[in-house]
This record gives sequence, structure tokens and C-alpha cells, in this order.
Amino acid sequence: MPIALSPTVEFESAVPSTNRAFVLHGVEDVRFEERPVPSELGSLEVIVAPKKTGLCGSDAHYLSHGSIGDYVLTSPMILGHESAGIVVKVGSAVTSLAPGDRVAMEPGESCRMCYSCKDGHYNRCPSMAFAATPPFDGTLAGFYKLPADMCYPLSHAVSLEEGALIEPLAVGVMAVTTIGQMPLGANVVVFGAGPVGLLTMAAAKALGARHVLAVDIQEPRLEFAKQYAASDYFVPTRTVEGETRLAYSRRQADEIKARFNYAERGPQGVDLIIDCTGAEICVQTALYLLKHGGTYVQVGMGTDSLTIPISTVLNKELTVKGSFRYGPGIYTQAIDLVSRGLIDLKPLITHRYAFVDAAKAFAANRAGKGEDGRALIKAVIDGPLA
Amino acid sequence: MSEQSNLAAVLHGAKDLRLTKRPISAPAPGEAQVAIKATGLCGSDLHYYIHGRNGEYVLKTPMCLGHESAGIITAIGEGVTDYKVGERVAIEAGVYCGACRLCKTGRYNLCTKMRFNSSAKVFPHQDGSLQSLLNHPVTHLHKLPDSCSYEAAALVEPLSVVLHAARRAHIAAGQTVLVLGAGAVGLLALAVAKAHGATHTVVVDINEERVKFAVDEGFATSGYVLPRTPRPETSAAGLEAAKATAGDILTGYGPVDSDGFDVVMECTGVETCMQAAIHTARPGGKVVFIGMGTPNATLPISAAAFREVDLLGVFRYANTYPDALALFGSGRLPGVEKLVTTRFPLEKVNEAFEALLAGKDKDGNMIMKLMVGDY
Repeated sequence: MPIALSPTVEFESAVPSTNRAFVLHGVEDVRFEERPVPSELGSLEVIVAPKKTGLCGSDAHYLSHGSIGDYVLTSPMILGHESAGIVVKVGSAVTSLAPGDRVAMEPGESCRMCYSCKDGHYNRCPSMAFAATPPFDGTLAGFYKLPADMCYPLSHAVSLEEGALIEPLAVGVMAVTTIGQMPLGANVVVFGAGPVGLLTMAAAKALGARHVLAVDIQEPRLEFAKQYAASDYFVPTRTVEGETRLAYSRRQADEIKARFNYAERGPQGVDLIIDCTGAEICVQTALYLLKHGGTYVQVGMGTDSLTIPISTVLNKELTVKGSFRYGPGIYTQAIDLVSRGLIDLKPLITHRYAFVDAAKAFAANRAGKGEDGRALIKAVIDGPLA
Repeated sequence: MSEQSNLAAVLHGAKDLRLTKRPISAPAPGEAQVAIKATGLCGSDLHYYIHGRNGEYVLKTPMCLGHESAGIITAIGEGVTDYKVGERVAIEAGVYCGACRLCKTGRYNLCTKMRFNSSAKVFPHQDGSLQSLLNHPVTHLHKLPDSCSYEAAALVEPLSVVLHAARRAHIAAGQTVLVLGAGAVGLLALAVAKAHGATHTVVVDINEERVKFAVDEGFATSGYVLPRTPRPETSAAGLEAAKATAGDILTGYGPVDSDGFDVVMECTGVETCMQAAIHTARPGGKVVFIGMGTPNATLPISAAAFREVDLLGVFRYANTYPDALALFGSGRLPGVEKLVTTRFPLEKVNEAFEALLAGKDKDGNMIMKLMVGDY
């Protein structure tokens, strides 16, 4: 007797017969298009049907500006890169995956042969083909082809929509572990309580931070952060007339130290600060706030040119590092943290959309809230049905 | 070298090395064809020649030996854009997969699917460079600066082994380094240690000529010739002897302000030397086992563990070729080219192996590094 599948399971295991795609043609110009269903693949590649795709700030930026920095849209490009789906076909030499497997997708294919790849930093590969970064197509389509080792099986305890959020979680895990080298029991401060900031806080907490402080200018976000992963939060104080930006940042740092009893040195100082805003004031405040010998990690993408207190970096022997996407072992680590229940991704998924409503998802993402008026943290779009 | 065929030195079994004319094959897409100018011979090549095996790796089908090589590009395969005919290159013999966890973390020398030229570890065997022409992926060819000779470029391979060892051991400026074994690898280890800023370097060997060469040519600050003693009868006696040897080395040549050397590079693979290496390292120091000898050794483990002496293994190298070539070019390895003491044309490859086996050329001169190639 056939067992009736729940609608979720039915949807998640169905392979579309056509390849509908959500394509960016130019600024504010997105269209649904039919693309050929891929069938050719290399011996070590797989074809996946993306089932759930989360939206991120970069997707919204390409829609509104047609570019991010040096990456400029010059021809139509499928959007989306935070995805999980079902394996449809595997290359002849693939032994680790089979059709039907549920996987989180790491959306970047590196060359494996350049200096950076050989040296263990494939995220820095100059030939990186990254989904939805021009000129490479993204995952908001019926099918996506990628190397088998870039697909990570998900246990049945992890849903596909959580699988999609492994991508932004990986950004947070990278910042905390590989780049930040967070020691056990660290005092951590995260600037920015958007999705990346929240996931960074969750990673720090899950990996053994003693205390995680969230800083943002929007108190509702911080309230959420506190019940999600942060130990506490801080809302910056008002500016004082005539105060320079550096002086303001200094004052915020002093205020934080006083309120949360952070020391200048040693185990009671702030060991690690991760900035997920890119905002000048945050960068400055962080450098003033860190203990002597502390580490600062830049994740947030903001203005390229800002003023920092470099003498503070010198005098306190601070380590200042950049964190770009994610590298070897990060996806595995992120999935493990979720599978073991140390990180819960579900509270971040606030809005869900069918594939045909993808444009609405982007609009909600930009507005920061859905049609229902609820604050949006992560919008997730289904893969196409047919 | 014939223009119509590729002359290859093919090993069929123990002491059965046959010079064979093979058809020339064009390079595949992504490859270049390299006319081999120089191939250095190493202990593993010699092992294959003598025994038809290297430890547990047994020759299954005929295979060309040789993996320390350099040459000039004579043809390029489809899709190759960055390499041209006439370019001079050093050949990195190990082709890794790029997709396994080890490759992705920058440790491709440990790649589970590594295919290394001239090694019987993988089957089918990949031919080595003891032939006139070799096709190889361009991603594993390193361009030579004009000032770098083919012989220096061939030395980049064993240099890579010790450079990798020096990195694993974090050899730094001001440190003291002891090298056990004054063969080519030992002398390269001394050169690399010095290039990293090691100040007090000592070399030890049972062969007086090699120790003298090392000190006279400036590879080591001082050298100690180990007296040859009868083989110990029991394991316990061996351990005692090794400890005594270590004591002698430290008394005569140890650093004055420390209980031992910061780093000991063991380049013999001999069990008693491995034991002595542990005793000669200072508390908190490091021993790197570079020499490949007995696979199962008795070691004074408490002398290491309770003094926090770290024991490090090394297997070939990763990400060393560009830095090794730069080291040659920068002049920070003075005298290293003197290591090439003996040369044979490819046509005389059997004589070459016999000389290597004897340890001396037919005039009775010491062999440090022997090269076979276009001479």
C-alpha cells in the first residue's frame, strides 16, 4: 500500500521537468525564463535541483545597483546562492553522492591549481566561479551543476530550508574559527544584528565563547539577538554636538567597557570582535574596545575608505583581519553544529515564498519586512515546481 | 636524443633497467612536453633499482624512475596558454586531486589520490623523468628564472623536502640546528636552516669525507664524525649507545646556553640516529624525521614526551617549489650547486646507478648528488 507523502516531502523529492530560472537582466529588471535542462556533467560533478534558496544583501544589491564593487552585471544572470536541494544526477566518478540525496550546496567552484588553492585558501582563488556573482549563474532555477565535493549531505534532522542557511552560517563560522581563531571561553563582541551578525553570534556561542555581546543601532534586532544567541546587547548612545567620529567611537567603547566590566588586558578583556556592518563607527569602536593583543575580524562589507585609529592598533598589538566567504572544512563544521542542535537556524527564517513569488521575496528583503508587516530576517524561496 | 623516438630508462625489475626507444607521444590537453635536461637520483630511485621495490611499494609493471628534474618545453597541449615552447621549467612530480579535504587545506602532499611520477605506490604507475621527453600537466611545471640552471632546478625537488621539513619545524632566526646525516638531503637541510637564520648548525655522519665536505664548504658551523661501532646486540644496548652518542654530540658541539638543539633534522633513517635525535633536542625542541629507514623503530618515547620534544614526520612537500626557486635565485643558498658531484648522460644510466650503489664514481670520488640527463 503506497504511503501518502506529506506535501513537504513530496515537494522536496520532486525533480522538475523544465528548468525555470529567475534571471536578472539589469537594474530592477528580473524575469522568469526557461533555460535548457542540463544533462552533461564532468566525472566529478553533480546536478542538483535547488529546493530552498535564502536571500542575502548581495542579491538585493545586484538587483538595485547591477553591481557590487568591481563585479558588474554585463549579461543576464540567474540570481541566488544560498541553497539546498536534491541531487538529480552524479558524474561517473562520484561515489559519495547518489540521486535523491538531500544536500547543502557550497556555491563556489575554485580552480584547485593556483597558488591560493594549493596553499589551502580556495576562497581566495582568482578564478572562483561563484553563483550569482557576474558572470556566473546562481541557484534560483530548476537545476544547478557543481563539483560533488561542494555538496554536503544533510541528515533528516536538518530541513532543506535550514540547509539553505548553512551558507550564511558558514560565513559566521569562518569568521569565528579560521580567521578569528576564537579561543575557548573568549569574550566576543559582534557588531551588526542582521542575519550574518546573528549567525556569527550563534557560532561564537556554540563554539564555546564565554560571553557574546551584540551591538546594533536597532533595538528590536538586539532584543531578538539576546533571545537567540547573544548574552547581552548594547545600543550606542546619542552623539554629542561637536564630537568627532573618533571621539564618539572612543566614548562608546568606554561606555561598553564600563557597563559590561571589560578589562584592558587578560581574561576579562574583549578577545575577539567581529564586525558584520562595514560601518566606520563600528570599526573604530571595536578597535578601542578590544583588549591588548585582541583580534578584530572584518566581515561586513561597507565603504572601502574609512578612518581607523591605527596608533591604537599599534599600541595594543591588535590583530586586524579580513574574512572572505568560507574555506576548507567550514561547511562541514557548520552543518555539524546544526545537526547536533548547537545552532538553531529555524528562528531566522521569517518569510517563505513560492518560486513564482520570487520578486515579492526580493521586495520584502529590501523593505526589511514582509507584506504581513513582520520584521524580516531571512526570506527563503522555493525551487520551481515544474 | 633521437628526434624520432623517446629514449627511456625503464625498470623491469631488480637490477633490470633497460634503455628503450619509445614512440613520442604528444602532450594531452593541459599538458606540456618537456625535454628533460637533468634528473637527480635519490635513495628511493636506488632502492627501486636494487630491489625492484621501495619498502612496501612493489613494482608491478615496467616504470621509468626519476622525479628530481628540470627541462625545456618542446610542445604544448590544447588549452595551454601560459606556457610556451622554449620555456625552461622545473617539474613537480606529484599530481594531486585538488578536491579532497587534505588538498583543500593546503596539504596536497598527503592527497589520498596523489599520483607521483616514479613511485610504485599507485597503480597504474606514472613514469618518471629518466627519459628524453616527459608529458606533464602545466599546473605542475614551474618556470625557471634565467639565472637558474637545470641542475639547480633539479635540486629544487630534494630542497623542497627539507624546506617542507623546516616549515613543519618552524626553524627561525637565531635557532640552533643539528643535522644527522651528511648526504645530499642533510646538506640541503643545513643550507635551508642557515637560510632561515639558524646560527649554530652542526652536522653528524659516520663518513669523514662527507662531514669534511659539509664543514669546508660552509654548510655547517661544525661537524662531528661518529665513530663506527659494532652493531648493538640487543635493543637495550642500542638505546644506551644512542644516548651515549647524543651525550657526546652535546658535550662537544651542543649550544652553550641550552640543554640541546632547537631543531634536530634526522636525515639517515637509521634507528640509533633516530633515538639519538630525541636526546639531542632541547626540552621543548623538535625532531623532524626526514630520513626513511626502518618502518618500525624503537624510540625513547619518554625522553621526548616528558621533555615536550615534538616528533614530526614529513612526506615529500607542498607549496615549496616557488619558494625553493626563489631561494636559489636570491643567493641565500650559497654553494648548494656544489652538491652535484657526478653526472652521466641518459645513455649511461645503468653505470650511473651502479656508481650510486657503490657510493663512489669510477675514479673513487665521493658522490654527493648524481645527475643523469642531457650531458
